[in-house]
Amino acid sequence: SELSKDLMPGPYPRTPEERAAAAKKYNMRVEDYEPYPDDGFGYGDYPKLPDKSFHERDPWYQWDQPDVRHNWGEPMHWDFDMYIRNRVDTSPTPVPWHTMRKHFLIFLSTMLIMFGLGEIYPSYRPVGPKQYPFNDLYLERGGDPNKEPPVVTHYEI
Amino acid sequence: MTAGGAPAAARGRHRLPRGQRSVSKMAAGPPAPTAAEAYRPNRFVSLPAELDPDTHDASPEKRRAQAERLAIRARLKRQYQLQLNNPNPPAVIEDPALIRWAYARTQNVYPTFRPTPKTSFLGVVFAIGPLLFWAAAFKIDRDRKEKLIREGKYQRPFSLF
Repeated sequence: SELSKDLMPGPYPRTPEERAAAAKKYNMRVEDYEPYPDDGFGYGDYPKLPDKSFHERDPWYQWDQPDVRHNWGEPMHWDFDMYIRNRVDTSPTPVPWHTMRKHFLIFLSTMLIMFGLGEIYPSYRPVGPKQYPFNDLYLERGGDPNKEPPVVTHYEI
Repeated sequence: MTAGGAPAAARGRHRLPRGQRSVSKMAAGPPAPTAAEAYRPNRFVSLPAELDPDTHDASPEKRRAQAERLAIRARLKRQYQLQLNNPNPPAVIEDPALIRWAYARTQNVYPTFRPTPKTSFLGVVFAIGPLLFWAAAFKIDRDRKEKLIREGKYQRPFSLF
C-alpha cells in the first residue's frame, strides 16, 4: 500500500531506540508498548495488547467505528477478528470461571456415568415373547384354510 | 516459648499466634485469598473492574499515564475528524492501524519467522504429523479390507445412502 516502509510492521525490536520508534509507529506510549516474545513465530514487532474482547469496551463512548468499538489509528489486537462482538467474549462473569467449569464437569460426568451404567445394567419391566391371535396367525402365515389349525395356548394352568 | 509470632505447626497448635482470635484457621495457614485472587481470571474471562485493585488506585503515575494515552487518542481523533469533515473528503479514509494489522498478519510473518526448537516441534506435530498419521491409517484400513475381501470374509454393506 502507500504507507512508507517505516510505518509498516517490521522485525522484532532489539534496541531501546527501535522499541521507542516502534511504539511511536503504533501510536502507543513507550511504557505501554510490549512486543510479543521473540520466539520466531512470526509476530515481529507487533504489540501485545491485553486479550480482552470488544464486549468489554465502553458501549457509551463515541467510538469512530461503533460496531467494532475501535478508534481510527488505535493499534488493533492481533486477534482482532476473534474478539469482535459477534465472536469470543471475555467479559467478566458473575460466577468465577473455574467454578462454572467445575459445576459443568460434575454435571456432565454424572450424566455420562449414569447413562453408561444404564447401558451396562438395563432395567425395564418384565416382558415375554409377543403373542399373536388367530392361532398364531395361522391363515396369515400361509396356512391351509381347509385343514384344522394347530391349537396354540400361551398360558399354563 | 515462641517469642515472635512464629507458629509451630507441630508443637504449639493449641497456642494461637499473636493477633489471631479463633482456631478457625490452621496454625500456620496462608491469609485468605482476596476477591481478585479468588476469582482467578484467565485467558477466557477477565477480572471485573470492581475487584481490580488498579481501578481504586489514583496515584499520580497512573494519572499521568492516562493523560498521555488521552493525548494520543485525542490527536488521532482530531486527524480522523479532519478527514471526515473535509468538504472534499477522500474516497476512502484509510486506517493505518488496519493496514498495519493486515500486513503484520499476512506479509510480515514469513520475514520474521525463524526455525527454533519450539516452532520446528509444532510444525512437525501439526503439519507433518497429521499427514503421516492419516496416510498410515487409511493404508492400514484399506489393506485390512483388501485382505478380508480376498479371503472372502468381507460382508459388503448394503446401503442406499
